[in-house]
Amino acid sequence: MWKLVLQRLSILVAMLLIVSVAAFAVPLMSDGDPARTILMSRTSDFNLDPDAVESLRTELGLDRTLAAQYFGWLGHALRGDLGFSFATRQPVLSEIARALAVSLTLALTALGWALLVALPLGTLAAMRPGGKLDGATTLLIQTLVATPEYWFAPVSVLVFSLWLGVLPSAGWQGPSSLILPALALSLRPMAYFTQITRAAMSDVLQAPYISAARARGLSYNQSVLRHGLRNGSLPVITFFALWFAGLLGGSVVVEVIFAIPGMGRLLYDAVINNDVPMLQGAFVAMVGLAIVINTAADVFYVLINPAMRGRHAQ
Amino acid sequence: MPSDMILSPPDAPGLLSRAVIYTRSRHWTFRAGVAIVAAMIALIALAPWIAPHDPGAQDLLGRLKGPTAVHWLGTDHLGRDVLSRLLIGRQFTVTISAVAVVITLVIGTVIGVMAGRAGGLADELAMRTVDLLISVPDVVIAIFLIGVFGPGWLTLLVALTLTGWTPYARLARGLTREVNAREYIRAAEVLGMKRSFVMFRHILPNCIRPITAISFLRFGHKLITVGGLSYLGLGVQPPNPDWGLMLAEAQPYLERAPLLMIAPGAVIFLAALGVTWIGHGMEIDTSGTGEDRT
Amino acid sequence: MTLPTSVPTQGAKDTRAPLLEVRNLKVGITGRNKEVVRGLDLTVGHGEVVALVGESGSGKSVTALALSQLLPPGLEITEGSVRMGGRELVGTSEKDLTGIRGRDLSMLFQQPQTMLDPTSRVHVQVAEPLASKGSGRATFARVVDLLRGVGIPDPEARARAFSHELSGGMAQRVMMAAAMAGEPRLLIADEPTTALDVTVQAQILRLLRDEQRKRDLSILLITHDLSIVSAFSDRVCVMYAGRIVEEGPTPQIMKHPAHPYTRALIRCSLLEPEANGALPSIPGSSSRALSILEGCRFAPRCHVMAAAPDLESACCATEPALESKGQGWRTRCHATDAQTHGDAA
Repeated sequence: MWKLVLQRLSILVAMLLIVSVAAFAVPLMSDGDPARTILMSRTSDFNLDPDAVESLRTELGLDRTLAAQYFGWLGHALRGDLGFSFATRQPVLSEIARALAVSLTLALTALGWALLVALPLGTLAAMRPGGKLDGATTLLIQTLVATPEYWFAPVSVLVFSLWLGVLPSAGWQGPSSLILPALALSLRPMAYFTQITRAAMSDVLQAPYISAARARGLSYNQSVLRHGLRNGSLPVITFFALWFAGLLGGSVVVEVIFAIPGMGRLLYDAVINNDVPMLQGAFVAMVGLAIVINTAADVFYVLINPAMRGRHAQ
Repeated sequence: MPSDMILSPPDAPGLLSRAVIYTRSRHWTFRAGVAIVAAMIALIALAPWIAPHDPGAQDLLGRLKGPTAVHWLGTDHLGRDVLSRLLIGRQFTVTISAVAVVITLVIGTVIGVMAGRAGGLADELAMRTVDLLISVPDVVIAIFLIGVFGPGWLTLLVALTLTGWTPYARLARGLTREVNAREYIRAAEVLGMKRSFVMFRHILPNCIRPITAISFLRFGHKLITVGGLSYLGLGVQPPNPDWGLMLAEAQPYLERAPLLMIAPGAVIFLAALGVTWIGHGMEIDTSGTGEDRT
Repeated sequence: MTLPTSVPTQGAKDTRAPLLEVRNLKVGITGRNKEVVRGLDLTVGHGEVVALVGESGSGKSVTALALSQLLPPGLEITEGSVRMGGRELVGTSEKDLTGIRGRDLSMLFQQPQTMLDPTSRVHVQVAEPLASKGSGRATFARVVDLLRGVGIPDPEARARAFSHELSGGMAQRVMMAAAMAGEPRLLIADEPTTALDVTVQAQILRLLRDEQRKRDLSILLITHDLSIVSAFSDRVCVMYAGRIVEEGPTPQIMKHPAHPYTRALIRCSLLEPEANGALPSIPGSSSRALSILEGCRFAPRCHVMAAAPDLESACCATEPALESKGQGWRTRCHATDAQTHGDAA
């Protein structure tokens, strides 16, 4: 067990280092001089004073070697100091924290809704393989997978905000502004959750312990409820983590459409404003978080699955 | 069997009739997908002849008009014909997605087969990397790179490739290990056959069908991703007509001219749906034969 | 063919109607005109242990599932009746069956560990057949009693265990405790010891025997192991290609089997080398026997027919009926006793 956790953790740390190197090094590969960029954004003047540029370069530590710069940057980053945004002059970390809370709410709402539909639907489809509901479910899955958020979102805004006027079309005030973005964001995870639930449940429904439970006098439905669902949900957990990590950052399009101040919007604004520290910070936060969540889910999966727990204990 | 695809006897039916036989034997979603994609390809190929208007011709007096007999899908904010712009275009979204699929397919399959053959620590390391990378959203990487290097096809391609190879690697690795475990492979190795021979003769043919199937599914996914980046203004730059870009240009006019936004979205949706259905149709039958083989 | 109206040997003491009465049971593959069980007649009396014997593929496990109305999708009962204590089970609603399974009729299976839900603790599963659901603590105490009753050491700890923490023998004891929880009258045990070590096998069989005596339990024991049959059962039914070919009191049949197939099975199970040093075997395989449509299904593998050419026309043309030899002993063979035993000399 602990061996597994240690192994996953060491791989996690290695990956995080690679991500940090990328976040640090990639901006250096572009032609821009950070000092000039910063000064330009401060003065909005293209004729920069060479002395000012030079002193800022020293101030930023840009005259040191690359390795020294990297470890300096990493040291600050580890202490939670990701620098200041060029655009807002705010600490990058606090901006990220604020945006993350928003994205977290959005992602969990979307995934919760997706699961709410997917678990029963996938289970019902698995109970009668090849039946009408199963066919309809397959069709729905394949269709949802192909539905772009940036198509569904405007259509839903059109219907619910502009025509029916029941939901706000954009912004981030109160639960009602959460509904449409969460719905748009939930479509593809919903499709994949349904697919994985269906597959897992059709395995479980044929499992010998379901027959054994029925032989003990449980009805088919009771057997599935008491002994099938937990076993069937194990693969879904892995998938949930995958999408949770993905949605935290991958919801850029939806956040931009609905003007939601989340991580995606933060990243997008950083690009638009050419805000390198914010770009670096948001990138590290999103990719790092994705990797951390994934590792956590991996370990969690082993923890809740008694059989796995036993195997790794030996 | 995959080997038939390589060594067809001389009297085998022609490529076209074989394609027809193959299509007929598939799940209905495969046929529906092929129909959608074929229709779209035909329309785009014939666009210069069938497009009703010059896609660049502006008509500021007739801007943001709904569907009329002249403009079937209405006009955009510059009075350009929406239908013509959908049909004619550099098809940036489609092209870049297709190229990304091919590159990731090759890289992923090579890594997967190598990891599966090598086993041990290399395999473990490769698969853990896949596990972690697969959860990193490609949109985030794409936006980061675009933010640094600016929009462009190369940036986009690199971004899509960085994580895009992982599903192929996982699949190819699984198939490789499955084939590896079979008696005849071990027998071949005991008999002193070269590893490369075993790889090309037995492992790769086994990978072709399942990997083709997920390529179509991934293609649909890439279309949506690239379209999304274009929509954010991070893909192709105006004035080139592109599906994603048309969406972005249409957004301010959602209320006045909803069709302006619905039409290009629907086209991306249809294209993604077509390839997804093809991939799904192939996957169903592939897993079916997989059961027969074991 | 005539059906038995009373149960022989042990049952002679017992004048009640048999507990389980199966008549002309047929199990077919859905959508295909193929039968796996082809008209099975079987009775189990009160307190009687009946062994159902056959090679793999003879349809004995399918029979077990058919009796409890738990056939997997793809298999269905096409004809016949299964009466349990006078109550017809075929066609009974699933709702009513849940009141019968686990209460009147319990089951043991071949792979006890795969029969336990890996994510659910032992006591939860053992408690399921309990009739009255009392408080959680009372139920748990009852489960611990049951586990102790089947000889599980430290039952309180084991009650909280998961299936992967149990050995095969221990898992089968847990299954036994669950099977006994509903105080059933009939236990259908499908190869309950096949997957276990030999020493554990003996323990489980002893446990079965104890429970059977203690509760006046009827057992239908499905097995391919003739040593278990002779040590354990009152009556034996030999199944071949979906039908009973011989049935009767165990001691007589084990000593003087009348059907060539039973004879061959017994000879093979002794593992005594023949004159040429080879271990005995039955030529051919049972897997194709179901596709034989005319005559005796065993004919292609039958050494008696091979030794007596004049039998061949009868054996290959019509399937013999199950004919009584007296004392509840019945067999399905065209050959006379002299022909059957002739080659044994």
